[in-house]
Amino acid sequence: MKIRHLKLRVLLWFGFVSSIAFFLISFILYNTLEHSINNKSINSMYEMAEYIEYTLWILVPILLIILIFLVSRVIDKVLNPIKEITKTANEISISDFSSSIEEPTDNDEVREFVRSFNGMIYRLKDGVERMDRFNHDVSHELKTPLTVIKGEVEITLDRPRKSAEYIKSLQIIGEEASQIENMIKSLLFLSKYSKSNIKHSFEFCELDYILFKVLDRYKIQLKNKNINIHLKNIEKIKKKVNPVLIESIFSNLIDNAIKYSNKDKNIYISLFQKEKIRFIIEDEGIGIPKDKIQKLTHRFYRVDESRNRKIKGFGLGLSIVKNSVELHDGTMHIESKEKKGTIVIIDL
Amino acid sequence: MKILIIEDDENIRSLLHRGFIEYGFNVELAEDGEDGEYMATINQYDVIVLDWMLPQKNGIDILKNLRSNSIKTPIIMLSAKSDIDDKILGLKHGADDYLSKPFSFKELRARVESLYRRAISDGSNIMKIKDIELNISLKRVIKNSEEISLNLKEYELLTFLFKHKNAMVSNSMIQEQLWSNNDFINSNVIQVTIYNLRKKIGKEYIKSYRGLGYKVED
Repeated sequence: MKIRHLKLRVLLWFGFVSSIAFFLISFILYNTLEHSINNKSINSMYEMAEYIEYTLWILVPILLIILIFLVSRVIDKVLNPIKEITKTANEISISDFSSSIEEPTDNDEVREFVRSFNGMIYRLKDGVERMDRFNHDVSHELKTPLTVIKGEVEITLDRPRKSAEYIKSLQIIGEEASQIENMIKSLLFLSKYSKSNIKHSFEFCELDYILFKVLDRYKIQLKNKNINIHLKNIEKIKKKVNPVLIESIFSNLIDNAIKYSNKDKNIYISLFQKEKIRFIIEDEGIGIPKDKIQKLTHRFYRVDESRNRKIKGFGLGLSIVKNSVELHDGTMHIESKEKKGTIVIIDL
Repeated sequence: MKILIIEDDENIRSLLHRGFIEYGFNVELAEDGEDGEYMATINQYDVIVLDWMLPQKNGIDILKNLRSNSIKTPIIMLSAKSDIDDKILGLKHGADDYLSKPFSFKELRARVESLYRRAISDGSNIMKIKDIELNISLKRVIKNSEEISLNLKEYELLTFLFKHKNAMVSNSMIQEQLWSNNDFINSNVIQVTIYNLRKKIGKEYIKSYRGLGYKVED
């Protein structure tokens, strides 16, 4: 039969083992005494042996009880935090992370254990909160294009119309559907790679080549806004990277620089290697207020609260850049002055 | 009915514009908070449709400013925010109604119409002057238990006159209420509308004061 209480089990084992030990010791002691009787006066020796025997009979149980009491205290000290943890773990659910375990005062393994458990709760809580926030953001972002799609359909179907009106309406619906599609693509891109799977995708790439390829895609936009790209210092650099992510870094930063620059401005780009690989992009655009720079890399964050759709975007670009940089163990630094421009420095 | 739509998203704005115009509303548009607040301050509207997230000035600030300038125009807020707390915040700052995106246009129209009804007739659907009954929810006019058929502009004009009963209504007031700034009309069009309306309901109901305007009396 198995006893479910750990404490009882330990105590029984302990009692059992120590009783056997005591009896063995008394037995050996008794025998040695008997053995040495031959040389001394028999009577006094017998008395002594008996005296020892009785003392042992009384002492052993008392010692046993004291020992069991002490061991029980030690076991309590170890088990109580475990009970607490069980209780807390039972209370925790996705919607309630409010519980944590009180740390024991002694600086020992139990305290370490409690600390790591509390740490885990904290990290889970943080993760769930971010997920909630993310879900909230996604559904919020989907609402505007959905409003247009729903409304277009409803109003267009309200009465018979000329074919030109149907065409116009379907075009708008198509535009909004692409908006949703692009947003979902960006989101999937953000969650595709993680620290644990990124290394498998690394290959030797020429970073300058990727940069030129990306720049080529923005030719028309640059021409339309009459923005000049100045390549200040571009070195040939070969490195093991994930080419898709590197491309996402370049294209998002160039895209932002163009989007937030007025007509007839300049953009300066450098890519060179010192200790690390450094990519610098500097624009003469509208800049970012100081208090908002920190939040720039948050998903769906846009400096203009209204999500003004004259400048298209969902506020995912910079979180993609940050994510890509971090997956390459790099760092990103942003400096900006309102109405003067912005510099982004990436070290890989 | 004259409404102002303050909405920054171009597609939503044009959608609402088309939808309301097709139901005979006189619609004016503002695409950012500053413009919207300015228009709401200097013009008279029956209802304002106000988006929450706007460039320059957000919807809540506009609400606060309008209400503190004692502009009592009914306002319905639109927002992608759908938390109860957001709705409460909007209503607390003086919105009369709140609709979350994505919404159905029919519902928005119904809510706008209901706000309008409440504003002009103290809750009842029927406004009555002498033996003419105007049913606002059905948009029907009944005189001596017989229905008079009016076109949209005539109906709007009659409602406007009923709303300002016993007060002088000038030509320019009528023009502002019935036609948006983008419709370039001459005073002839107003005269013709008045003429037709008077012919249909009876000349004696609408008194004309040369150079001043028109008046409907109890």
